[in-house]
Amino acid sequence: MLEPISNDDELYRRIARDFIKPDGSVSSKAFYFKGKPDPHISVDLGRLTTKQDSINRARKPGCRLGILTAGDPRSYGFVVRHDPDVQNNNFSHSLIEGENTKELCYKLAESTKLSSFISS
Amino acid sequence: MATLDRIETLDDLEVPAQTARSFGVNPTANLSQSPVTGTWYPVPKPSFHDLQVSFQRLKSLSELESDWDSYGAEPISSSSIHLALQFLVVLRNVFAGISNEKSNGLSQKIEPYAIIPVPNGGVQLEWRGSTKDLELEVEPTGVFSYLLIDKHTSGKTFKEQSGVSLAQAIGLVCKILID
Repeated sequence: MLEPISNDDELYRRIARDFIKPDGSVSSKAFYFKGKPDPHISVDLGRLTTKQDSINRARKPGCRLGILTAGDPRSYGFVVRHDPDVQNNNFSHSLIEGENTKELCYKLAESTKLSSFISS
Repeated sequence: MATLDRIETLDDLEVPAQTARSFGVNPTANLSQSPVTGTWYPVPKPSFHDLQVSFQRLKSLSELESDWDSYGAEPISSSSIHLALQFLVVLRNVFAGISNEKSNGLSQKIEPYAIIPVPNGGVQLEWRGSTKDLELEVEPTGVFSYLLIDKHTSGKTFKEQSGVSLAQAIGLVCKILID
């Protein structure tokens, strides 16, 4: 069963510590896959998980949890949709999808707020 | 290729002489050519003593393991690290010539505000200016690309381009720092 995602829904994205700049802001590179702006950005839908569970999915220590509001990527032209990850038993998995650019990665990073949750 | 532990001077980086000259640096005589007047200036033997923060940051990025971002990122390639260092040294020498002319301490500004790893093994150097910011990516293949952010009172405008030359990349950073 796919969940509708409203513009007010929170999305969680793990942010590696090396993506955090000296002033505490998030780098646009947090929204790259390999060397390109990611057209299928993995996030967790906040109301179907917890911040702790989401950060626990990090495979490396030191990742911070970044929080976006679904309306922001939509305002940049992305589609935000629920996409459960059955293989990894993550029902909250969702995607920010669409043609992506350096500029849009920059805007996504600007819209991301860091929580205090850190992976161990 | 030299390891980061023994890199101390431009010679250690093995910058091809032709590349160095194309950026106004005479690698054998340690001369820097002013991009303004074309005059050659003597500069101290290049070292990383005034680029220590960048050097240490790049060194720490070189130690990142596979999947460091938890989304499948590749380790940062030694070629990206070396190219970024080469770029900073050449930039420093170009600015040394400008500073000699204007004595305005421009060479103090060349250290990037942030150095960020790119998930394909590349490195991003970021500078912040009063009206413009620059994100310059150095890819493992040696290709440069950038995002230029123009900051207005009414908001921001953006320009991005891939496959830019070293000379263009130097010019962009100069534009940010002199701005």
